[in-house]
Amino acid sequence: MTGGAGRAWGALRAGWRAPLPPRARLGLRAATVVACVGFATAPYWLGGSYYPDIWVDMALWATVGLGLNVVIGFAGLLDLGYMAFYAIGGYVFANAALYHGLTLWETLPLGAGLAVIASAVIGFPTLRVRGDYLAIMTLGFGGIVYVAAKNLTLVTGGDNGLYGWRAPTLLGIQFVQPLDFYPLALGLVVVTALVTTGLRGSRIGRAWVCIKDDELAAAASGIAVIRYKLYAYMLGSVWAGLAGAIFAAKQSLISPQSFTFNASFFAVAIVVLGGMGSPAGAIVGAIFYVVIAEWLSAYTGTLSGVIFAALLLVVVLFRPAGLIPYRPRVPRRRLRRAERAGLPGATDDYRLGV
Amino acid sequence: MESEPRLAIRGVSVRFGGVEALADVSFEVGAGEILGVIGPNGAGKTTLFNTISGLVRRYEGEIHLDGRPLRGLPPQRIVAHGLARTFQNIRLFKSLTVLDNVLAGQHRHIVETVLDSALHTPRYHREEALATRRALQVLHFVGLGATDPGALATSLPYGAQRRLEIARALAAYPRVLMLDEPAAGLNTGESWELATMIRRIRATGLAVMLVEHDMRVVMSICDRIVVLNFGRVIAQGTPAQVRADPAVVAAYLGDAAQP
Ligand SMILES: Nc1ncnc2c1ncn2[C@@H]1O[C@H](COP(=O)(O)OP(=O)(O)OP(=O)(O)O)[C@@H](O)[C@H]1O
Ligand SMILES: [Mg+2]
Repeated sequence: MTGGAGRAWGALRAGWRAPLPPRARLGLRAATVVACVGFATAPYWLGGSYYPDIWVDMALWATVGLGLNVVIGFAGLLDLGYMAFYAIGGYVFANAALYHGLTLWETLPLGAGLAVIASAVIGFPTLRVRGDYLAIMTLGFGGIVYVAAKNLTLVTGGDNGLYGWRAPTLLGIQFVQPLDFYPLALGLVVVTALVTTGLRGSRIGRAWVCIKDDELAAAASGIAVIRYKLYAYMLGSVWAGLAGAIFAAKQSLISPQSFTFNASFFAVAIVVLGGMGSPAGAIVGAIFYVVIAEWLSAYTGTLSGVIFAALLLVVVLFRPAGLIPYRPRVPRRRLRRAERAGLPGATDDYRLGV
Repeated sequence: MESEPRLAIRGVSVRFGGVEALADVSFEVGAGEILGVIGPNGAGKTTLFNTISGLVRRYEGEIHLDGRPLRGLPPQRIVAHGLARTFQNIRLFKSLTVLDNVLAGQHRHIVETVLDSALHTPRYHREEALATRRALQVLHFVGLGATDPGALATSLPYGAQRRLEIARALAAYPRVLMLDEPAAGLNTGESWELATMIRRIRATGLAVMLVEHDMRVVMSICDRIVVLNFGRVIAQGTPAQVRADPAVVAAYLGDAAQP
């Protein structure tokens, strides 16, 4: 690189880091919103038949990434069997639809509920053990669910899977094509993103990050470490249960292949790629993953796996906090609200109002 | 001292394998009192704090906070009973902001259900606003009022990190505060500011326990001092009494800090 170009690059980087003036910040925010809305609605203006599956899968993987981000990114619990909850959601939907004639709408809360119950049952004994064992035990749980899906033929259909339920309907509209499910999946992404981000900025989210940073100091600050780990595990799993149900409905077939260890591994990779603890990162990580695994693989075959691994490696090496790192900050609104209520004065007590 | 001590330690012993870290330790701390705990390296001072705060669970003897036994309680329950502490090696939450570190100390004073947290209900906003004001007040009290509350805790200079850890402990609104070598690594000026601050903390009616190697700080602000050596209490009393105690002089003060 020549000196001039080097300087220009340096100036660009410095400018990138420098705080933007308020109007520019507003403009940037507006541009981001437009870009996000544009991207999210792309399947419609690109023409609905353009890789219909990819769009729904992006949304479902984004949900998976956002949910797992609660467990790994917020609470720092390495979960290598997360897709087990996706499988539970999927099989709950398939069984309810096939044998009990329930609709997708009735099934979604059921899938979510069972995922939460399963996570509580697994988490309760598991989360007492130290971190490194947790990874192994969640790995085992993922394996057990996979083996169960293959062998509990009565409820899972074994290797052949389950299929043949009637297409879900809403307000008389049938959900048949993959893209019919897109608004639902996109809605789930939005809700998951809002709720998980909301949790992060609250008492429970702070407690999770405290536990991730320093369990001992967290306990000494009054945080019930094991209980909050369990909360993280449960509040992370619920999203996989919901996404799994929509996934099964969209595929109109559910079989064990979707829930191998690889799937759980890629879920972790999405969180790491996007940025641990970063909801926006989880979404971007999912987009990268689906584009490479489903679109690029049409041209490169199995090479796409190598490409994804290479991308992951490059990010981990050169941008360890992920593509969109989580930036801790204090919302100005919060400080303004506190100021309006009357700021602390130079009293000789650390307690307010004494 | 008032009728019932804030904290009462009676015959506490702790063993780590062959090491007798604490042996039959007994003393009391009252409200509005600063109790110094001194002793050579490895005397058992940190172990004493760890035992009181529930990090060491296996011990003999009894520990009472406001008359209530602490035996068997996990650390977070002991915090709920009114105990807060800092650590010898600063243990701030490194991926949290300055404000969030103090809010973490407020944890059990914030009344939010999971639903409030997830959906940001009016109660969430009310509680967080109140907690934020309380946290800012604590930051102000420890002299971090001018610090950017949105900065990462670990981006602060060393002395400010020590203050922030005290702020986090104070934010729990404890009845007993335990400080483990808060002046370690501070320069003389900072140490005196710290001493002044600990006096201001005492003035609010807290019982303060202070482990500290800086003898000038200890001797000037402590009301009473307990001296540990090899896990045993070898002396306790006012700074003047302790300084004059031959056992203390022999075991610890020796030539190092004798005025
Ligand atoms: N978790 C532990 N396991 C085994 N031994 C321990 C443990 N914690 C402390 N000890 C031992 O107990 C003794 C007292 O240690 P402690 O840390 O309480 O001393 P201290 O008075 O705080 O010393 P310092 O002034 O160096 O901080 C030491 O011999 C130490 O090696
Ligand atoms: Mg110590």
